[in-house]
Amino acid sequence: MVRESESEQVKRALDGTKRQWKGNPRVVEFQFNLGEDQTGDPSVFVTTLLDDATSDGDWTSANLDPIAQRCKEAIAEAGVERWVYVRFARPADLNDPGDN
Amino acid sequence: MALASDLLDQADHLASFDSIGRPKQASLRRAVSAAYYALFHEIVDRVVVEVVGQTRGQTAIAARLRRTVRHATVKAAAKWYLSPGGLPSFVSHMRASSVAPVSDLVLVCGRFVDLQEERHRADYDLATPFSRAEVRRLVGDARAAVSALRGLTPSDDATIFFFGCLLGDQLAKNQ
Repeated sequence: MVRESESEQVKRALDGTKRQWKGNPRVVEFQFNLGEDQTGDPSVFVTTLLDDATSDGDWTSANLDPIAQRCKEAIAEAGVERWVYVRFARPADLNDPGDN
Repeated sequence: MALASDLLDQADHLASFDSIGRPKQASLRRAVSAAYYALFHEIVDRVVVEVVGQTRGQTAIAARLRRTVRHATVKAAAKWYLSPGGLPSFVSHMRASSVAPVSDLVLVCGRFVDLQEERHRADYDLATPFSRAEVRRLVGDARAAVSALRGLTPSDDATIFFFGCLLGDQLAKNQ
């Protein structure tokens, strides 16, 4: 049996989280990449894409922490021993070139 | 304490700046940085009080101590209280109680680790823009963490964390 790569483990964990998440705001997609954080610890950087219709009023940690917590738990349960960082964006935010 | 409060107010101001139309990335990125430094300086203040006491908080010793607290050691100490596998054994051995750490300390640790990474992204990674909503959330997180820190009562965990901020993983050596 071929062992899953860490990337595959993370993807499986996040796919499961997306399927199970029925709360508000709605999660459109999880994107992630593996790397090291700024102090060199192995990490997973998860970008949670929320529905473009998510209002600023709903954009609170009270609403979003449960999503982040579920991601962290799922990734740990998948056996990935990396620090997990979860940030949030709308799909439109990622297409915004910014003004730099 | 005044510095942390002023930095939080500055972060709020920057996050709301350019209220009409698209906010400038420079404003949003500086807001994230100010929010992180508010929490960092508040932690440093608490470390100093823990080591030299409140009455000597403005002495030359305190000033020197403030300069020795490193961002990486604070992060290392914060991670002790966030590990999915529970507290490291050297931390458990120093605690008189087996009761779980208070939620306010865990919150401070979690927000610090996340904000430090976001601060780094804000200052060095220009590839992905910040949104105003996300920046306001991060500033709110920093404000909540500073408030939690100010309400933290003396405990073994608080002492371990503050000494950990000073010593980092050195505290784990020679068990």
